[in-house]
Amino acid sequence: MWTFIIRRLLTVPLLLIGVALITFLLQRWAPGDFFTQMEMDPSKTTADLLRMKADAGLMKRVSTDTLVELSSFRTAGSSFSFTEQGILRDGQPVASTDVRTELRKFTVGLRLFEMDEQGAVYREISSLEGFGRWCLGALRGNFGLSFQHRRPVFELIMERLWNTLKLSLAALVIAWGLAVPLGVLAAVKPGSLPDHLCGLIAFFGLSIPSVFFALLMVLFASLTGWFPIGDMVDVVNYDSMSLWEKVKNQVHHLFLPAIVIGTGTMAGYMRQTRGNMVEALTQDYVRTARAKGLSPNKVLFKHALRNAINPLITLFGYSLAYLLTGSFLVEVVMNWPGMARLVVDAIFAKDEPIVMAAVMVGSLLLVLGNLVADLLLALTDPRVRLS
Amino acid sequence: MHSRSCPTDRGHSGRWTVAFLATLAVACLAATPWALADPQDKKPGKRRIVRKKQTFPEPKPDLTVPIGTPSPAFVGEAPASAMKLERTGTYGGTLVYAEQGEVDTFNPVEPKGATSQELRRLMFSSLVGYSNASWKWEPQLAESWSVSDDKKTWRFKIRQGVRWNDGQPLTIADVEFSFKTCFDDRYKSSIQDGFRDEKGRLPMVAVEGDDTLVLTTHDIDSQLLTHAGQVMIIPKHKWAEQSADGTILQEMTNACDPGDLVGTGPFIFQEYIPAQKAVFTRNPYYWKIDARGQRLPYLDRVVIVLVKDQNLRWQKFEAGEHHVVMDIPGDHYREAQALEKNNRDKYQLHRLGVNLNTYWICWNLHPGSNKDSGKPYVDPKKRYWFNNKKFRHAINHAIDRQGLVKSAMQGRGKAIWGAYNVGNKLWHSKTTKKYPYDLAKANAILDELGWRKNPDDDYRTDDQGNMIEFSLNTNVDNPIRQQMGGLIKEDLRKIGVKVNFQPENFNLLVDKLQDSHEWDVILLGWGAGVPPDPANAKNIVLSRGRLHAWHPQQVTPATEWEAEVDSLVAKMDRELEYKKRKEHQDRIAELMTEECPIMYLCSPNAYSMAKKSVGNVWPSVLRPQVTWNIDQLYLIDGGR
Repeated sequence: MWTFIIRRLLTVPLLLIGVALITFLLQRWAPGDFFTQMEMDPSKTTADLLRMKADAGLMKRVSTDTLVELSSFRTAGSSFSFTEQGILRDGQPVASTDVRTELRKFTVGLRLFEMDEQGAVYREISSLEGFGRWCLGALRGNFGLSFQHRRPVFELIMERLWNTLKLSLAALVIAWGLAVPLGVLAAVKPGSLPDHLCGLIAFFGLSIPSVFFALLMVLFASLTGWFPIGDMVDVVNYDSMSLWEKVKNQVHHLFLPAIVIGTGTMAGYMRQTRGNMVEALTQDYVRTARAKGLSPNKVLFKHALRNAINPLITLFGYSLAYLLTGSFLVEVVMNWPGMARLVVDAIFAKDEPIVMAAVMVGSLLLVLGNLVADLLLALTDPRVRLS
Repeated sequence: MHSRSCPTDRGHSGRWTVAFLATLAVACLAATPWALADPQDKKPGKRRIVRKKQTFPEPKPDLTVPIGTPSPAFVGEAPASAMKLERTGTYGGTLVYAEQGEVDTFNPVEPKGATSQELRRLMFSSLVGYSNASWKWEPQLAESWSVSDDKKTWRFKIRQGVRWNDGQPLTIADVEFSFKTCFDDRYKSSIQDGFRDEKGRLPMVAVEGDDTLVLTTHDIDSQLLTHAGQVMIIPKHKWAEQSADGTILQEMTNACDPGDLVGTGPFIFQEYIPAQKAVFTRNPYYWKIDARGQRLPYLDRVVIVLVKDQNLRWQKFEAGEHHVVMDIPGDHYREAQALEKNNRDKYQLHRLGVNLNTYWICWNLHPGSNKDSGKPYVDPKKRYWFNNKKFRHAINHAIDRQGLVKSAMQGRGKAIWGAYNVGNKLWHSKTTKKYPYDLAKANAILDELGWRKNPDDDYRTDDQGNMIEFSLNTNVDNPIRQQMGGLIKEDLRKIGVKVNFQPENFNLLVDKLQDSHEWDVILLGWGAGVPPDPANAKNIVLSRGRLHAWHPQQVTPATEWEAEVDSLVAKMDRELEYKKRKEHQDRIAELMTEECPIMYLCSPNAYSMAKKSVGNVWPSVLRPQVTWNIDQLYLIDGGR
């Protein structure tokens, strides 16, 4: 078993590099970057934009020495070259402010350069160079600063990780706590009223999109006033509450979003449980057990359920992988201060460092979740051998 | 997942299924009557109530208002030079409202997003401040200011006796320090860029006596007050070392210790929880007083809830959780109206008139070609039409702007003709040329050009035999623009012009506008800044501007009229007097609308709403609409 674990873990770095490369290139190849939105703001100067891009590592300020080493080039109908003293246009010295429009963007060789209003020159950093830099940083544990927040990305993710976990774990408890008993109940007598009711619940949970369900719940909370409208705690009064009130307040806020996420996942697990149970109950050993005169409960829980539960354990492992990402849309709709708002915002805004870090964490969890699922299976089912 | 063991749902349980589904459907429908109702589905014949324009007078002092007790209490006495405001109010209470963005940083040296900029106004003060209600620069930490006869030397007289929120006195050295840090080469920022003149030079900073800061510019700068108003005064006793060794930008981040945010603003930063809230308490040393000589601010605390989702922001206000909601989108207007109607004593909806943001379409008039392929950016046959001013005028007459407002904005907007609509009190020009919806006129212009309609399909061909057809792009994530694009397509169909409407990814559009230049017509919008001065739009009107969308970044002005606009803008930059600047602006507006390379279409209305229990509300179309005078707001009966 240990060799299995070690072998599995050895594939992780390769997998992560692959995922990182794809994520990085997808972001770079899609048009625009984090600063594109700002380019359409008339009050933003080019100097400011280029400076921000350089801070973010999308461009690099080029020193005069490097510029002087460039060969002369043609753009906008004239030939230009840089010297220690300044810029030459067709051999004549010119002030940088006079040629700022001609030299706003120019290419030498394959490199793209940009100049701002004040004559500062920047060069573009290519996707592969950018990825190389990111990898080098990541190896040293430096995942970069968020473009928007100007803070280390893991600091930002950690701030919200616990909030997301709180919600996902609550949803997980609801999902599994309901799925297994309801699934068993439905399987005992297929076609009975409880079975159909459970089927309906599953049908509802599987078919309703979580965003819509979340919106309905917000509406429900707003119309009845029984539950708070979004948020994780009472934003205004939370600080002045006693410990017991704080716990109550948190649970009160947790209820609706956990139900929304829990119902969706619960439905699938419940159908799975039911299917497995129904199948197990038709097996020969169940008939034998019944014929032996064992009590129905013993047959159900000791013989049938033990055998039916294996595929569920695999599912449970997968559900660990979605702990961080499964609640994204609901978090946005219900204003849950978890990772989702950070990451969804980052994806739309193309805040690359946050997206990269979040994808890395997500992939790592997926791999570990699978590993846990395999190990659990080996533990519970003596027929499975890991090697 | 539905495994084979599932029997068919016939028999007695089938009825249960139907009953359950029916209940569910009824419950959903009952819960969402207005969510499903589409405001567009209104009967065409229904009469719209024309509302009288709502005006918002300055709040008057009322000496009968109880004074209340401030908690936390004020410290010491108000400075002798305290700024007196004609207001009264009651101390106490917590004002709660929502912001959509996140706090990037609290550092005032390097301002970031709109939310960060708004929040730092609570904690810091500048020499002068812009009043959203009077549309004027008003004294803040500078008691008064003056400008020399050559209009290059500005003197700001600093208020004496003001204290930082840590109790230390504010001196002229702090003010000088703040400006020097702002002008430091290591701390390049948009604020610093603003001060730079055409040649990239910064003003000189000097101190006269112990209360006057002198800024001397190399050229006359009409926007000096705007730039100076951006510089937040920061304490030298706290940051001298960090400013000297180049690390001040790493301070005052959104993870900093509250004690680090030493300022002279009306509130003190207390707590920031990412994605949840930012909490502020009264600055006990604040330097403004009211009509009764009571110190400001009235509010004990301000809680700003960070809400990303617009629906949720509205729901929370509707449920009474927040006191104020700003920038209400048009699609929440009906709910806002209903809330006001049902609770007249509790809520007031502010109909602020037309927003300063604009929607427009722009023609690609770029004469260049792709450097690699040699292909012209604009197909020569299209270039022939686009560069014909009469053609552009005909199109301008053919677009039903009222129709756009009615359909895409549910009537909650206004047709506009120039960059500054009537909502802009200072810069709306009467010289703006209007092109009222007139199909006959549009058709006549095109007929006169000899671009005749083809009898088969009713589309026009030009005098060279090319069918008139071009593409119109907008960004796919904006539903209003998408709807407008569809309507424009229909409108132009009526005069025989074929439009291929293609919404695209926003970033792709920006790339087309700025780099590839391969587009025909684009539908987009501009946002407005505060103050809404034409100087903010230089990037658009100057021929070398990055956002001179129809032909950006010209080396020399391509046409005579663009050269004239350039020279007018240069004149405006060097003119301090509003009247003269307005004359130049009027001429620019006339030129721009005569040539119409960019055709302004419409602007949405602006709405905000507040509980009536918030006193001294003086809303403005400029952002932040209600909380711009937060140091004067107070809560009546605790804000219920």
